[in-house]
Amino acid sequence: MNSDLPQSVEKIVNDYLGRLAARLQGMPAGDRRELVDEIRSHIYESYVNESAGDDIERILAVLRRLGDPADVISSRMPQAIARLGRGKRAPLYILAGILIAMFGVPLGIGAAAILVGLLAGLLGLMIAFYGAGVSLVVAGFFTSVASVIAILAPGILYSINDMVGSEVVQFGPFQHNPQMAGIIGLITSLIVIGLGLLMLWSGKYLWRGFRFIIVLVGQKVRSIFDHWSREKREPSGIPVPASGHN
Amino acid sequence: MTMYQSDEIDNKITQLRKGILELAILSALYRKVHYGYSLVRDMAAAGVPDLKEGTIYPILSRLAKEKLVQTEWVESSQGPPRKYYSLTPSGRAMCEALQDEFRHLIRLVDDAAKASVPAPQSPPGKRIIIGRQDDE
Repeated sequence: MNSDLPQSVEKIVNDYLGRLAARLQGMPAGDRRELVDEIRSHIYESYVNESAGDDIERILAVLRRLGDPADVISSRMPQAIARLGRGKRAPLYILAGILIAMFGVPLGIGAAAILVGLLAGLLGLMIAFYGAGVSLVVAGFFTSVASVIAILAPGILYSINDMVGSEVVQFGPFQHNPQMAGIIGLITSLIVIGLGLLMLWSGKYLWRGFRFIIVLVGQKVRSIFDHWSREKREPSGIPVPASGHN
Repeated sequence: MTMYQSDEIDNKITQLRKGILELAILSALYRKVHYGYSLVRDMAAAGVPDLKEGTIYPILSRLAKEKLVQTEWVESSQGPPRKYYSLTPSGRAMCEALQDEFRHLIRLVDDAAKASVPAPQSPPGKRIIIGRQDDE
């Protein structure tokens, strides 16, 4: 960076920008760099136009006018988070929106419980989804194998029935035309396989949404934990009276 | 009759200003291309009081996302490059529409102020008192 600020001022600016960047975790790296560069440019312009006081007083006045890093990003953050998962069609992003809204209020025990429940529910949904996809593919595969046998060598199926002694393989209305049953079965099973594969493929959106929510929750929990541990280190200034009045 | 606390008034004023800030930024860009700092200076010169300068950036970013402004990085003769903002055609149209609406609202407020009657001594209906319970 070609800014020719005094070293002590540069240090203060870098500290400020570092705090800003830390608040922008979760924003795409390119956007983050651009915003930090823009704020650096602002600070520089503002600094060289500030005349009153020594170096330190000038830079402090500049940063005071600029405001807290939180002001610079206030309404940017939800957008940044929303941009994490690129596609916006999946209904999971609506759920993510609800979760964001929920995190907007202080997270109490109740909300935490709801959150855990939701996450577990989502996980269950995902497992069920993939399970259904896999079983469609597997069922489709076996049906297609049986159909191919029915087309090429229906005798094998009849002999299976004879061997077991009951109608394991049934042709229903196609009793006398196993080839026809085979063709219909093959088409149906290919459709079923296709559906299963489609489910597995579209599962990546589900997975992406789920990962996104996990990241979101992780961030929020960490920030709450940070906040909490900071409070513990510097207890808030309101003294609790031992009795009613002193 | 209870008087409103002065910080309550401040709060309302802050909200009002926040709502108008976006239009103020659009209007400044309507007249001239700006980079962040020059925009802030322009608005301060126009009389926008105690503006936290950082607050314009989220708004600018939103306007860019809505394709109302376009941006361009330009090298500066001294110091880091500057990010310039200018209104797109739809930004200009939006600015004009909002300005019209704003003038209409000003007339509305003016007329209401002229035709105002003295306020009743106390507001009708129930009053809800929210207080903190002290420890015993």
